[in-house]
Amino acid sequence: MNLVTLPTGCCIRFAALGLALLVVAGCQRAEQLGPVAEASSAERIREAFGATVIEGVEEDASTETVVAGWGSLRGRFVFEGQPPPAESISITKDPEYCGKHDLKEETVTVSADGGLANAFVFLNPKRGETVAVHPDYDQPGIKPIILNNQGCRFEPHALVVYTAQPLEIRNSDPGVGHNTNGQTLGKNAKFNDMVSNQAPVTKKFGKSESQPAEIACSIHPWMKAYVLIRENPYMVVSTADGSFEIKNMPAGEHEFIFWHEAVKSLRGISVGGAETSNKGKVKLTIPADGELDLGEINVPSAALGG
Amino acid sequence: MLAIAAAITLAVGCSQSEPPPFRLNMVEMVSQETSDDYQQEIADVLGALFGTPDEPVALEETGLDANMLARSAGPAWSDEKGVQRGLYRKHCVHCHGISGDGRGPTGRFLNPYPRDYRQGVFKFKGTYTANRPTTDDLHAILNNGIPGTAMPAFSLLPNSSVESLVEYVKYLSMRGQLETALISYVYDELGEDDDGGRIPLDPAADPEQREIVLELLAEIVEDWEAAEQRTIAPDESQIPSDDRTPEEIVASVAKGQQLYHGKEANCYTCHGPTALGDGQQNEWDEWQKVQQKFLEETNRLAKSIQERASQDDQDESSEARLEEDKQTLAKRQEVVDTFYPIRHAIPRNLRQAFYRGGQRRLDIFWRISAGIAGTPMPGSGPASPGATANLSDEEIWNLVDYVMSLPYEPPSRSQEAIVPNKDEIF
Amino acid sequence: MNRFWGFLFFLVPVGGVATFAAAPYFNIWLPRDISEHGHAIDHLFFFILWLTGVVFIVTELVLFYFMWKYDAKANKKPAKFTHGSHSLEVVWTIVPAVTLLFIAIYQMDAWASAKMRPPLIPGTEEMISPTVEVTGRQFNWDFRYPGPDNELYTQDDIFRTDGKLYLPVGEKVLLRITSADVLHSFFLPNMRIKQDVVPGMEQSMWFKAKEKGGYDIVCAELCGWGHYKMKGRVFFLSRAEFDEKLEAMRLEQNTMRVAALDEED
Repeated sequence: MNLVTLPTGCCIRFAALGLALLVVAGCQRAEQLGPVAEASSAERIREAFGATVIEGVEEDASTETVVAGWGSLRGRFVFEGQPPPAESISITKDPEYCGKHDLKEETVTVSADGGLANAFVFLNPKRGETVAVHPDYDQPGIKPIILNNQGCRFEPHALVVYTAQPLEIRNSDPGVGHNTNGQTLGKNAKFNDMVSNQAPVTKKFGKSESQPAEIACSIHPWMKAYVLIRENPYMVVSTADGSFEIKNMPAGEHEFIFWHEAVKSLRGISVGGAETSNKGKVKLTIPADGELDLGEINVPSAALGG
Repeated sequence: MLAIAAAITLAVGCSQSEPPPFRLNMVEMVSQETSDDYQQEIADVLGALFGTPDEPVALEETGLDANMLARSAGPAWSDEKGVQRGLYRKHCVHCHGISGDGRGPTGRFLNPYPRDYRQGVFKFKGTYTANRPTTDDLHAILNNGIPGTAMPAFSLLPNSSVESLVEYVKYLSMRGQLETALISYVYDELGEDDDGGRIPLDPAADPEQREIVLELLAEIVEDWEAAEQRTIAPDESQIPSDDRTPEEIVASVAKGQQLYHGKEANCYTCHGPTALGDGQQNEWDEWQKVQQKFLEETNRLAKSIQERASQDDQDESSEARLEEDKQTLAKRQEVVDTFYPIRHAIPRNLRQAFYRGGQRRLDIFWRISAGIAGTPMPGSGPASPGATANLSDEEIWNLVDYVMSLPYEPPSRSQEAIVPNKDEIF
Repeated sequence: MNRFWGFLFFLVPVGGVATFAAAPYFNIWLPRDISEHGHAIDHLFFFILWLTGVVFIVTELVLFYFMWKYDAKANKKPAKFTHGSHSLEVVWTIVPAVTLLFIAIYQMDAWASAKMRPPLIPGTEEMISPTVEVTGRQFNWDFRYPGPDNELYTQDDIFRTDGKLYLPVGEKVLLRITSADVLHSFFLPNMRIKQDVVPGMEQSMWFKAKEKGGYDIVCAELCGWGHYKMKGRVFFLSRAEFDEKLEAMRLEQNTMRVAALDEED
């Protein structure tokens, strides 16, 4: 019996090409980034966890840390190079009110004599390490820290919040609505609240965030503030002229983090003879009953991504 | 020829593809500069604690029901009794992705994009902004779908299937949250420092790390369990009565209109004085904002590299830094290339008669009181039980009345094409 | 070709008849008809099935006969060339044309009653008010009931998005069908009725169900990758139960309180 004869020539070639394309197209998978869990390692780790039962959190046996004395830390950030010109913000909301305030980008704020403002310096204790807090910081009737929506910007632009102090968010722009959006918080409860002119919104936080978080206003999207929430009070933001001081720190060697909103971790900055690591960390020794003066800390414009 | 064609087709079609694995949150990994070694170690720890898509693991500490997870996990098939298994892969994976990242094969073509569970943030729920959704909240979303999006309703599935899917969503969410916590932990406390030393993340070998990982997990689980008690219950004394007179309703709507256009609630500013959602469209929701910031930082880095590369005189350390930054840029660019187009968060058009997060008055009350988590929509009610609120419950109910009357106002009705002298036309 | 192939072609009508004969025993047949006018559709279906079936079998048998009789191995006479038969051409043009014309006229009533004769308010030219508005979206069916004032697009409308449609049994109901995005088709297999929706067009659909119970709603127009799972369920209830259900749904939409703690588990 004869099989039906197939057409020869170009038809066959097209058919073969089509088939090949189908095979190739069907076999491709979209490129995926990143590694995948390795089964034997996962198994090994799982066995280790299988043996662990969560016990209640044990209280640290030693609650009284012996402090060798108290010292302070000070310094001044100086911007090296040509500070970038402060760009004007285009006001897209409430221009009759907000437009009056000549608002500028505050990402890199440098004073007339080169001082770099809004840079964070904060203590980075090890996990589980109890940080001795000087009694000056824990006075009763502690006043709240105020974050004010004023002139269509956040005042202050960068701030630190010790968990013992409540944060009071105010709206001092009469007749202008602001909401304060703190949904970038990691360990603490995220929030996004309307703030009225009449009553402030008070927040109390309980956990340390690992870095400053960006607070925004959804109604006026150019508004930004950077808030660092920590369980110890040893943190500071440099003032308008770039200077900073942390008083009454427990003496000894501690790790500090240097941070700026333009680049997050300030890396490669020369501080007290050492250089900050690629996570902005550096070890400094606070003398007992003395002061560690870091002097002028040069921040080259390259370090701020310029 | 036929034989060859048949052989090729058989070879391609019959090869079993491997089961899909969970993938990592590369945006978080790369933005925190997690090295490849740490990425692998984190993947292994997550694999240990949560298993694979085919074989989930639920530690007792998570409080997840292993049987329910087993029904949702694995490939889709039905057993002899006709019970469906592999529910997540059957119903959800093509949009929400195998890791719950909202990047399934069809995700790219949807507007809005499917939800990414890995942050543990969900928009439509009855709890305070800071809290997770309750099981009932997630169940309601699965039952009713989300009109206005591509999320369909699954109420026709047996109740046990829907419960099983809710459990699996929580599982994926916890896994994603632990991943972020591990990335932060590695960055803050382990992590390569400039002196070249590296503490590996190996909870199998290091009991202290094991404790820490369990602590991180416990915090996440606690949030989910606490959410069950955090549903916002409107103050009984301020709930409008069921038999209001028409005059009372009209008065309430008028009050709501005042509040809408007023300065305490500021609804008009984003939703527009027309309530069409055209007041402000240049903000992003949190999921898009993370990508937008990542993109902006990547562009800034690229610009900085360009400027530095063009400079002639460079000392050694600057050169080394430049090379490092170029490598970082390459990694970041890889991740940026996987992004879907970044979209703004568009405030809702309130003149449509249906709502995404539920059609009940209580649902609208929750939206106004707590805001919508993950979006620019702020809350005007108390942010936690007992906190001071921007608006009282009564005022929020006024707004609810106003919002629900908007679709029926004359401007919302389509204009009929009736000529005035229609009686004279035959 | 040899007789083997001829025999193979003979198996086609045999197989066809066998499939149709056996299908009902395997439950692969028409879904249960619970509507008032469904029998008209089924009647048309069977009429055309028998008509085309008989013609098909006759044609196939004739084909087989000629393949068998004039097989090259068995029949050595050379083929005779013919110029064709004019009369044969005329016959097999006119007969099918007349048949088709007959079918077209025969079905007009069924079409009109399903698509052109909406239920009217007695004594007027107006359609009865719709019982529900069905909106198809990718990939779900959303329903909007007119609420106590019996008028759609007023504030007491009840919205349901869970894919479960409730309708009264034994009454003529009018449905308004719209699309939220692309082409869909609202198909009720057990009512033998479907209606494509074009975005921007408002279509109406009417029927009367004869039996209570829950039946399928499926989408019958390819609307995207989720078309296959765009399902719903329609429940026919007695008028009293239907009113009760509407009231329960209205109350649920007006919920202002969180469910009491003792009601939850």
